[in-house]
Amino acid sequence: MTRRLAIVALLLCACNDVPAPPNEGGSSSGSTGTGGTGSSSSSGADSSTGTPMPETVFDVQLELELVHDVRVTVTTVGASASATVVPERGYGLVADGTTLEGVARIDRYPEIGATVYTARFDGAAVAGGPCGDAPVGLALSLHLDDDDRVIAGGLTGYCDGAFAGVPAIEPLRIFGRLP
Amino acid sequence: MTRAIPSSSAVALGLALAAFAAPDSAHAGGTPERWALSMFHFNVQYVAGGLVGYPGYSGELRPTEVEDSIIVESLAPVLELYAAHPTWGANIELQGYLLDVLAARHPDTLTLLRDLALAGQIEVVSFHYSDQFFVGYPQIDWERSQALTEATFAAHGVPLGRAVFCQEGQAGMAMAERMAERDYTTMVWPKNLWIEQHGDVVAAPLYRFGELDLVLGGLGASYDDGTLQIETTWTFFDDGELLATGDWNPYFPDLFVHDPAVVAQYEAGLEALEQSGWKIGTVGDYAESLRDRVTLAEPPPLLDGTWQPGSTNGVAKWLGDRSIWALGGPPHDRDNHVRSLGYVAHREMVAAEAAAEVAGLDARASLDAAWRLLALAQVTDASGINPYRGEVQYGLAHATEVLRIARDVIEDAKVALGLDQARIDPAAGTMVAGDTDPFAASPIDDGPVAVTATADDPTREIAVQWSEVDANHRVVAVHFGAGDPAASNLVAVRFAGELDDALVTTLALADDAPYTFSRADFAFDRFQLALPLGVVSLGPGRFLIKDMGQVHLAAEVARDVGDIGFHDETLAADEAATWVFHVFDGSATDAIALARRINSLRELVR
Repeated sequence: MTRRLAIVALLLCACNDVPAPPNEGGSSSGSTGTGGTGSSSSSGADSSTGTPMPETVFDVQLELELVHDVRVTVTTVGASASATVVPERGYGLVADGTTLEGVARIDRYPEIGATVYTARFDGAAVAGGPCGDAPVGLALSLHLDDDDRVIAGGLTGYCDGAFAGVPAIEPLRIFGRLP
Repeated sequence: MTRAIPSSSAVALGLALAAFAAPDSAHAGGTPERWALSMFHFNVQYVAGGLVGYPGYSGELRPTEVEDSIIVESLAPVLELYAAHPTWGANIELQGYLLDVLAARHPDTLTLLRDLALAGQIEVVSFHYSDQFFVGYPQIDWERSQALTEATFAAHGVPLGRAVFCQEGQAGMAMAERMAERDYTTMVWPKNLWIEQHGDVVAAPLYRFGELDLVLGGLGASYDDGTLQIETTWTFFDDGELLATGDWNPYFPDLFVHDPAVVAQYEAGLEALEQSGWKIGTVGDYAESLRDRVTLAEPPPLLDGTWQPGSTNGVAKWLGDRSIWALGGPPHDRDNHVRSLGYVAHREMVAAEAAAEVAGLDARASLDAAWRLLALAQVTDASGINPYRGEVQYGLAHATEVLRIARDVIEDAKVALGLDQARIDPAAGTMVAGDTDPFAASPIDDGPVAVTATADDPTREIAVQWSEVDANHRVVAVHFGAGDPAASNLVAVRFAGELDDALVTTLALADDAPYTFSRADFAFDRFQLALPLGVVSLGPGRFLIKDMGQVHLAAEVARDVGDIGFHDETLAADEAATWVFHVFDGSATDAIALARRINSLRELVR
């Protein structure tokens, strides 16, 4: 058995696939590392009306379940935040490629120097999916440390449109780097 | 993945064929009682998150598919083996979550397990709902997990065994009290965790473990008091997945298949033992039989740890040492990221509990579900021996989801209380307006302890910054800048300590009291400690406390040196990190109280 593991380890040396930073996601703007509860992003404003203008906190393509992509966009308008998530594969929680849009929150964790981005999405029932005829609640949660651009977390689906409980399937893993 | 020395089940099978080389029978007369014991350690999170994007397997197996293969290929055949021999007994250890998997998708196997357990043939051992790294986290995380396990066993009608063995053979002396509180009776302490600390041992049949008893797992014993002779051997003490599959594990899905021939080999070995007068029994029956008839031996002091400390560098494999995969390439694991985020999720949970209570919110269902997710987040295999990226991200995804749910509760509480910013104190159970950092500190030029920070990669910038909370409480932040992506990953820090025979820390599952070891009691040169509260003595009256939200790496202590060291081989070469430690001068009791305030019951500003 030790020999088997050694062989596998050697094989892996040649095909290591630690993800490269996703660069095709466009530019990141807004301040992702400052601020307090609610939105940490400074937002612009229309100087003529004082109406806050949307600010993109980040818009990035990340790994979904290691082998697929998911595009995640977080935007602020004043103190409000929203998120758009487009998973290449939906794993029965949503149809592949669905655009999910929902209210987001940008939470600061000052004691660890980190920010967590969360959002909720109301998903329709997916025939053949783990929730059957029931609507699906999808929750995004991504952690970003001030020290780095690595952003990691998941997209978790709950049956009956809930946002807590026992997930319909394991949280879908999201990992990558902000530009 | 749980194995460190993957050949031991083959050894067990070999022993079976050789009638389990039993301890010498030194006694001249009488017929000894002979017990053949076993511990099948099953882990349905063996590859947490399934085989997805796994470099060693071109296909894709979703989490449920890997779980199902573990049940079908390895658990069910073992159960069927014992069902065919009603006079035999065995111990099967599993996490509570495995019962939920059985109930959801393998009802026949659940029925068989239940029937064997009710018949007393199988003692179903479980101490945690998830195969989590509980020696490295606060007591309450395990308490919630264990309570869920008890409830899960009750819900599925499976009697919970009274013996205890754990994922990765995690063991600690404070488990005695926690076990006694919950009607467990017998600890199975892995032999190598004993031997690593004290050298070779001639096993006694039964030891005292607080008010309970302890069996040295995997090591045969021989006993003769002149009137009573007992011989004990172990026919299996390993990952249960390996018996029926000829030593293949779930990382090799094409080979991880039930092989009836190897099960038949094992069966033949047991039959031979039975014919030679050995009782094929459970640990519980064994301990019950001996408890009042032998003199319980006293174990030496034992540090917390896992079952193969020799090959895993103690707990460092989970807390800083890189995994065995992709040798020569960048590490797949991210130990400090995974383990510190698991701790942050804990902090948020206890704060959310307090916030909900203060605000009068009915968040019980959400929080209970989040505690379950936290147990899954803290799974050992998100770091450790050979996590691939999928397992690492399993831990991160679960931890961030816990953070979201807990923070949702806190935000709801703020709204209910009309607070814009709140200080939540889980120790006091309060939530009040404010944004004051409970550990606000002023920069100082130097600290009370010499700190040596190093990086193998010379291009990494290293900065050490001291600050002071008060005259007895200093904080040091050690920053490692990003380095050359092609360079070595190792970064380390060492705190100069004053050698003192007393080594003061806390034990896993006993967060409220210091425990003092005598270094002279041990045989090791160096030993790695998880430090569930982050605290360890750095000399008489001086303590070092990891800030677990930022650094959760193994603390290396030494028998003959007072220094404490930490290292991380898993920090990506092109990533930066900041480790924060506290140095406190004062009593052990005050140090533990401070460690709790810093780590397990942190006041948070939200």
